[in-house]
Amino acid sequence: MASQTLGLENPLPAPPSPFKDGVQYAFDATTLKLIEACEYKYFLRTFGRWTRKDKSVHLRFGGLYATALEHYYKLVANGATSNEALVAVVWEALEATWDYSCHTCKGTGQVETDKEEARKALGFLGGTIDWATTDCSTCEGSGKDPNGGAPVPFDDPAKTRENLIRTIVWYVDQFENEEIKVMILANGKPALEYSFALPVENGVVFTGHIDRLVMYSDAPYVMDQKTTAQTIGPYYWNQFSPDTQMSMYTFAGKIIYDLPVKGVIIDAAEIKVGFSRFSRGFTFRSQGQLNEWYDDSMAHIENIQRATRKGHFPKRTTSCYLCEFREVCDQDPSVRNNVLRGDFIQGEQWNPLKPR
Amino acid sequence: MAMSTLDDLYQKIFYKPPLESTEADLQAIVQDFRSKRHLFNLGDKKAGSTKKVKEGALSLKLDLKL
Repeated sequence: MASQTLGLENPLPAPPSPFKDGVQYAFDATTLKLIEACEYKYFLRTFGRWTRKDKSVHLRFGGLYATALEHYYKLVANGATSNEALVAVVWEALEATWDYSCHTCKGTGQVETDKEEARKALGFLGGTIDWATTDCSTCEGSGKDPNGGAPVPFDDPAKTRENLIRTIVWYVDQFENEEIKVMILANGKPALEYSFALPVENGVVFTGHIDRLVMYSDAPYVMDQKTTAQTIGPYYWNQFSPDTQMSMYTFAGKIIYDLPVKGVIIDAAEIKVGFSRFSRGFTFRSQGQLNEWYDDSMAHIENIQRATRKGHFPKRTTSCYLCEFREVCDQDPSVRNNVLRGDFIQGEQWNPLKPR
Repeated sequence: MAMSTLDDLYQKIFYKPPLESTEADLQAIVQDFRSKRHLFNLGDKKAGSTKKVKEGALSLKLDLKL
């Protein structure tokens, strides 16, 4: 199948913050899904920066897997053989999941000195110094593990480092001879790893990351990778229609590439302890469905911007049943922070404008 | 590949710094994973693959009974 030539490279530099005057104006599918589900959930995730501890492993695994496949396709598009590209991304994934930092000082090179020891060492007797730091004795201040480091722990029986490599290799083994071709841009570069920032109306910007734009049966599709622990069947595929992420990818793909993108091809990897297996699914969007999705999304955005200005984020209790924050919201507001500190971690604020 | 050599390879690849792995090590681990996938025969949708797995599970069950 012939590659098609396209005209665009990523046209917009990413602004530094998704907020203007404290109100979010840039939205990716992750944020849109949050506000579709519940405004209080959006508040906890966006302003509280809370993520469930056991969720981070799945996000990390999925991110490493998607990056490996993107880089594989890029290397192949640039002339590497399938095996050369595979070996390269396997090494890259091993490197990305290895922690070279010193475990005693967590890579800082410094450790807190015992208060009394510090006072004695500095000649103070009950003086004003409460703490001091000194070079870590394990790494002698370098921050690097003298034994060469250790594998990054994943804390999940199926989403392990070894299973990550196995899944990458088995994916390539299954799909390396497929007929789907990555499109080539006018500048000769493959349509891979495209982070977009698409201004729409009312100062709102839609953002996202398209893994690949491909031709399949003479029609253009966005292609996306998913990993899951659940068995892949009709129940799994139903989650993608209706689905904001897939609608946004189709919407953005049509506008950015100026092509009649039909929908999204999803390569799903089912990750189990002893095996990984793959299924390919299609989700289609008509123009009418996309128009409806756009109007709905803009209405959700207006609502969340209004809620942010008022400082009140109402709970949508019909979404509580499978929500990760259900146990938090189930508590009296005065003790919610304790529950959050127990089962959740506070990370970086999610920035939809941060290119991958 | 002999079992002890394979164990050594897995130790080196997964429990030693990646910089210690050579391209030959990586080629070997990739080949080993590729060969294992066919043992599971679960990655594709070829007719009979599920049947084979079920048959395998059944014979294992029978062996355990004996």
